[in-house]
Order: sequence, then C-alpha cells, then structure tokens
Amino acid sequence: MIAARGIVKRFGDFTALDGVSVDVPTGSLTALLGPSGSGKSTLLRVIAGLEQPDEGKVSLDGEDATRLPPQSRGVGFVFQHYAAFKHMTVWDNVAFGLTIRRRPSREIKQRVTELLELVQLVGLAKRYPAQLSGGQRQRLPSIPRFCSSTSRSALSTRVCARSCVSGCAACTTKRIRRP
Amino acid sequence: MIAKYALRFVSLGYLAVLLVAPIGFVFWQTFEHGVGPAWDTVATPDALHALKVTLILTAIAVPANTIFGVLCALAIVRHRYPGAGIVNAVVDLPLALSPVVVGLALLVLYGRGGWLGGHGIVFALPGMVLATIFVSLPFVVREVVPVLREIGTEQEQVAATLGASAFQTFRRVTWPAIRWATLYGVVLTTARALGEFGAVSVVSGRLAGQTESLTLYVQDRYQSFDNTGAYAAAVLLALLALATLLLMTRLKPNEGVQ
Repeated sequence: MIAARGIVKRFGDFTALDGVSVDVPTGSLTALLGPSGSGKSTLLRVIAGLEQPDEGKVSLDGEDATRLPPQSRGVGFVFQHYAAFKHMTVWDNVAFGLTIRRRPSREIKQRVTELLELVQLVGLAKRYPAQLSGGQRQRLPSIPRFCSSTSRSALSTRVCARSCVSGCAACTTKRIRRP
Repeated sequence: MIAKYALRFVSLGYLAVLLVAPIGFVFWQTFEHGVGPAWDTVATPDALHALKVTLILTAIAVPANTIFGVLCALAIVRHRYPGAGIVNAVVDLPLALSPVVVGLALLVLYGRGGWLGGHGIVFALPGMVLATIFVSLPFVVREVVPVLREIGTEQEQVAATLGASAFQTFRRVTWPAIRWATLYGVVLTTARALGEFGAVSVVSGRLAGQTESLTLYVQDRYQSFDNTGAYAAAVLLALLALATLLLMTRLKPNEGVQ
C-alpha cells in the first residue's frame, strides 16, 4: 500500500503539487490521468524518493518513508525518457538490480533469462542499448525495475504513444505489483 | 574543390610551421652527430637526476589531481550549494595566473618568514611538488565537468531506485561515463606536470643535481652553452610526452558503441 498525504512540491515560484493525497492499494493497477505539466511525474518522483516534498508524507506499507533515500524504498521507477545504462549490455542492464544486491549468480542468471524471454529480447542479450531497434529499446528499460526481488511496486511515467483516453492529453500508468 | 584544398593547405601548413618545424629542428640538432653524443649528455648524473625529479613530480601531482579533479567535478555539477560557482571559477585560477606568480605566491607562503615557512618546503622537492600540483590542477576537472553535465542525473537516479548506494552508483554508472574524459584529463595533467617551468623554477632554487627538474636542466644546459646537452634533454622531455599520448591511445579500447 502506497499512501501520499498532503504532498506539496514547489520548484521556485511554481507549485507543482498542492496538497495531493492518494492511496494505492497493494496489487492494484492504477492510472494517473492529467494534462501534461499537471504534476503526475512529480508525484511519482516524490513517491520514489527522487524528489523531497516540501510538505506532506509518503508511507509505504504503513511505514513513513518521506525521508528515506530512493535505494531504501524498494520502489521501482520507469523513467519517462529512455534511461537504460548505455555502457552496459542488455543482459547487464537487466541484471543490474540483482547484481547490486549481490544475489547468487545462479539466481541472477535464471531471473534475467526469464525476464528477457518475457520481453522477447533473449537473442539480443549481448547487445548494447544503442544497437537495439526503437521498439526493442522501449521494452528494455522497463524490465530491471521488476527484476529486483525486493521491489514491491513499480512506478511508470511512460507517456503512452497512442492516446489512451480520448480527450486526455497524456496518460501515465502506475503499476503496482507484489514480488 | 579549391576551397577544400585551400583549407587543407592552411591547416596543415599552420601545424607544420608552428608545431612540427620547431620540434623537428630540435630532434635534428640533437642527433646531428649521431645517437652517441646525445646519449652521453643524457646519461650524465645531473641529467639523470633531473629526469628523476621530473618523474617524481609527475608521479605525485597526476594521481593527486586526478582524484581531486573527479571529486571536485562531482561537487561542482552534482551538488547545489552556495559558492559552487566560486569553486568553479577558482579551479580555473592556475590557467589564468602566470606560473611565475604561482611560484612567488608559494615563496611568500612557505618561504623564510612566510606564514607557513621554515619547514624545508621551499628550495626543496616539497615546494616543487606543490607548484606542479598547482599549475596542473584544472585539467581533470575541466574535462570531467562537461561530461557530467551532459550525461545528466537520470541514469544515476535509475541506479538509486534499483537499490544502488552512492558508491555503487558512482562505480557502475557514473565512472564508466566519465572514464575517458578523466583519462584525457590525466594526459593533459601529465603533459603539464612534465613541462612545468615557471612556478617550479621560482620555488626550486635550481640546485643542479638536487632541485633541478628536466625543464630547468634544459635551460641550465642552454645557458651554459651546452647545446647538445640542452637539445638531448629537450628530446627526452618530448619523448616522455609522446609516450604519455601513445599510452592513452593504447589504453582506450575500440569500443563498438558510444
């Protein structure tokens, strides 16, 4: 369960979030809708710990996480722009979260293979992101976020390429999953 | 067509006249009477000692400025704090100041009657090390800062959300991105440290066989009308610089991407 309470975030004179509260139950798939510039990404960045809110609290599974650094939150984050590690192969990109946590190499191998199969990139494991096609590249950055076994939730700020809801300038999906 | 050849002619001619000709002339003068005499002048105790001093200065200044340079670049680009702009400007000071001024400043600070004087720093190796570090300080910072700005913080944030600590993020994400910039900065630092004359000249006291670096030795030989000795030592300096450049091209692998 992710809970944001009265989040205020200002950038200089501009108030991006003005007392936003949202509850996201565990196991749900939630979408935040709003025109571009309305603060969707900022809210997700606050939840992930990439921005500090000026006011308000973030709690994860009932524990106050407002001051926790991003690496201790276990919140996965898919960046709006393409953000794979350019100097690493597809394999190393996917394995990153597990290698950082010093998982046994057998587990890493098995998990990475599974995930690469899931997004149909198995044969391309040795390539660098720059050597992938646009579509392949789009599938890549989303995987490592789901890969680390402690990750309890994943936030995606990907703007849908197609218009998801008519009349909606942009939509952002926010997915919650259990490990 | 004419423009293309004119451009080539101008650029190559410029390089030839201003860079290649003087250096080529030194090489030619050195080996005018064969390798033997040149070798003999380089193999004298004073020359060898000067070479040793230069290598010691470089071996201390380059690692120090590399580590400091990377840390300083991170402090300039990645942290917002009051005074960051001042740090950024102060780093360029050694480029703007004449090395002679640097040498004098060190004399005033560490010399006889100076604030921190009387510890055997001036007219000895420590003072020369300080002078060399001072003048070769900006290069790693200046190479790394623009690369850090360009890569942005997104990849580092990705690493953080995946559970990487600050050090892990640096080692696995930031460092690979700034590696070649750092290496290039190291080469420039090395070249500057090897070739430093002014500041070292002021603080060294120029005692032959004791506080004489290779550049000082070259001038010493030249003023003693020992042209062969001066040219041979100059060639030695040039070869050291060339070796540094070659080492860099060797170390840098041919990466398929990037």
